[in-house]
Amino acid sequence: MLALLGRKLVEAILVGLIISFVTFLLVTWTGDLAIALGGLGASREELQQLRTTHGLDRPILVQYLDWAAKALSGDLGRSFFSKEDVLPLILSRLPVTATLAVCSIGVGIALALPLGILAAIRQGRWIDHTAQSVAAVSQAMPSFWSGLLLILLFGVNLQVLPISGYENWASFVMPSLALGWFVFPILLRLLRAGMVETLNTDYIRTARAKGLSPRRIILKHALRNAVLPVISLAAVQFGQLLGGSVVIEAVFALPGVGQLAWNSIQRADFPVVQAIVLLVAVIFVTMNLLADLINGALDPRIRRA
Amino acid sequence: MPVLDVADLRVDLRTTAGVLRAVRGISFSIERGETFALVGESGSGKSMTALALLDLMPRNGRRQAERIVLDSRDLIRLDEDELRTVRGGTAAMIFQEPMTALNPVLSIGDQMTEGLLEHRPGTALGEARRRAVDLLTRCGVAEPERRLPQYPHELSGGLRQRVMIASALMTGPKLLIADEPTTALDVTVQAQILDLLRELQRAFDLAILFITHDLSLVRRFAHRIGVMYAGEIVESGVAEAVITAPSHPYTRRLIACAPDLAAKRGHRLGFLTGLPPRLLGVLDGCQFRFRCPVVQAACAGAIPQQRTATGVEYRCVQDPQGTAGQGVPERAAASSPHSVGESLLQARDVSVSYRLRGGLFDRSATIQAVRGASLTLARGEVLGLVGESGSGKSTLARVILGLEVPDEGSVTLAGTSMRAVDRRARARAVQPVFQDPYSSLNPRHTVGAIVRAPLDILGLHQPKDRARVVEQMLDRCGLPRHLFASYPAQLSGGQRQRVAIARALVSGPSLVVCDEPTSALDVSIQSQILNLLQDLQRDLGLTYLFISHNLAVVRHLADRVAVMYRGEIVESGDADQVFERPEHAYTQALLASAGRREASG
Ligand code: SF4
Repeated sequence: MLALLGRKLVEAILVGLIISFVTFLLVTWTGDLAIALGGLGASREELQQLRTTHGLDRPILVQYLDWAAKALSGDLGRSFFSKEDVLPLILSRLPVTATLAVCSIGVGIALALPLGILAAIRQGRWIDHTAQSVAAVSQAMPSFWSGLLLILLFGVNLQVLPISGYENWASFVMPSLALGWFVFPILLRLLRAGMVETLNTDYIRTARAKGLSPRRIILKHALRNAVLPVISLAAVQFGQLLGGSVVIEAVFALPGVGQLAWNSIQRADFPVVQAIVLLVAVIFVTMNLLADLINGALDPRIRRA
Repeated sequence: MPVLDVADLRVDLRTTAGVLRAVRGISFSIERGETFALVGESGSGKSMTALALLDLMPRNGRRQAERIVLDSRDLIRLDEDELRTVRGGTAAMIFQEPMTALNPVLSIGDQMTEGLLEHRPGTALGEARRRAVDLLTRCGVAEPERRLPQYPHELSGGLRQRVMIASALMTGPKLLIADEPTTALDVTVQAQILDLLRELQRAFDLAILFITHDLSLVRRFAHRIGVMYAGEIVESGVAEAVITAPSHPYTRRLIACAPDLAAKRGHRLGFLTGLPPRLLGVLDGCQFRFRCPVVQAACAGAIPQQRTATGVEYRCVQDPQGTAGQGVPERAAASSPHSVGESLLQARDVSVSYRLRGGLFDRSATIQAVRGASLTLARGEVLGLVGESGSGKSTLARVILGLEVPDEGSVTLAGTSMRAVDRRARARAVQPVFQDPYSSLNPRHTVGAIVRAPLDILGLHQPKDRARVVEQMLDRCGLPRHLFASYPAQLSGGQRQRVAIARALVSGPSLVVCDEPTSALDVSIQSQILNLLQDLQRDLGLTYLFISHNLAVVRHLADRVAVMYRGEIVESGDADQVFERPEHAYTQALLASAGRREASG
């Protein structure tokens, strides 16, 4: 278990470093940071001045190592736009996005789990067909569209939920539904396929031959096996959600990380963009690590390997 | 009163091709302390019978019966909830694959106790665990307390089957249904498990329903035998009588088909032509009539009535006398010792080790699969290589085929080192036949194209002659002509193996490496393939390296034998000598297990 953890940690650090280096390259190659800093009207001398003060005239690798060293000590630089420190800026946006991510993945799992199990045990019956059709429809719906439909229903017609902005828990209901609705189909499919496969295994036949109740067979014997890949996928999706959903935060005007990312890109606020990419990468790797740990806890074959 | 009394059990399966009559009206009963064995080839309905008793068939299955009385309760009249109290309660089941029959993510202790806790809700967990430890001890599991928190993947196959058996006995059942419980195990382990079952039967006065495809296995293990064919019990009776004096033509053929450990090499196996019928729709008459060597006009009428002969009951329109002598081979035995020429293959001190993949922090472990193995093969000879799983016999075969480069040692073929020749030259000289032809035949090519491919690749014969050469080879391998344009998926297992053999031989190799070529086949099909291999070897003067875990098959075919154990060749020599006067302790144990398996009392 410890060896597994150690191995995964090293992997995580390596992936984080590689991703941040690639972003660094992209950012420096796609635009002139000095112009972004000084504005289009800046003179040649002013730009040169900016380059020297910000160290932009050094080789890229040196610049990256400099940035990475600072980043590791928690200094992610300052926003070109608001001149605030980047780290507190992002941290201030994180709670909104994190709440949204937790609620969305919750909605997705709450939909996928019972439907996936039901579809698998009633394979080929109407409930199976219904579940799969619903999944197909929801996957085909872009999340901004389901978001707008929700706004129309609850916000405009019924007027029970706030349409936009961030006030209280009620502000999260519609965005979470829209995002959860979006992540649920793939979770459902994976769970259904896993359950169908598991229900046909020899050990399920053994469990039936023992006279166990159907409930026990499904929840204890089948689900424990079928849920393993679903956990990995859910963790990855959760990581994506934590990086902020640009579209949904825009539709509902939620001040989350996604919104910040969108605004920063528009303003060519490179330090912020760079930091958000790094954050997303770290979260992504952490979530994968978490999924592996959960799987390790649930699957003895991994745990003792 | 019998523990189990089954009358007129029928199982229908709904399939896309129609209703499949998997079990067609069978009746039998088992007393306390008695073992009744249902013997049959795949598709005979034996496993479906076992599942149907407790209504555990696949979802497309429906059962019907006059009665299935277990311990004075008629199971056919119970609803699902009542049936659940019987499953794992009065009747317990164990299955073939100990590797997959236990849930990989639940601990042994959990899986052993959960049944008891379900059936006797008041039971304390501590008490259940004590019973589990007690039963594990009785089932010969060392350190039983340590097993409870372990998981299935941490146990060997034999140990898992012991755990399965112990687990089945937790509720004190009166009937144990064992579906091929030893088939997936090595010979030595098989014998131990049978001994254990017999011991437990005595201790608990168990009635055992034993399902198997292996007639020789149940000769002494079962008290009575029922032979199933096409969903019916065609013959039943006292075990010894069914095996020594069978009355039904099918039983006779089945016995003649099985290679015998006690018989000398060179004799020819009996065989059954054709395949079992597809049991769709309305079925009339004797279903064996399509393969029966003594079929008559009357056989197509009604289903034959049950008749009684000494010690057995059977369903056939004829007297045993009228059909006697039908186990006898139709072609003369290949008794003349074939000429053995100069040395063809020499493997010297071959060692192969594998590195287990390790992660960043794991020290990588190595497994020594073959250690310093040497063997020689003379032209025209059959060398049998026997060993249990993990003995390294298949790895050694891969080295000889040039699929694996040994760490040490050398392989020379007809005087030239294998390393010196290129792949094409090697392919011309050595060809493999594997256990599972399905995975080695290209599913997208027709039979004709598959067999032709080696000729095209190696540039043998004039292109215009190739089709004819392919046809001749397929004829020789006994594949019906109308199948030449079919795809592998449309063939039966035996037919696919014929194609694999034709493909191996079409390029005219001098050495054929057969790796468990009949292990996936039914006895009657196995005998067809073994006879074919024997004929080809004699007619074409081939040399075989014949690898198998099945001692009787090797005994039947091999001139010389090499025994592998833990990567080493521990004994080799003339087949008669090794089988009759084994010198190494392992060979002795192996033969004793195989013999005990067949002749245990
Ligand atoms: S009834 Fe006819 S076909 Fe069937 S086994 Fe007897 S002789 Fe053969």
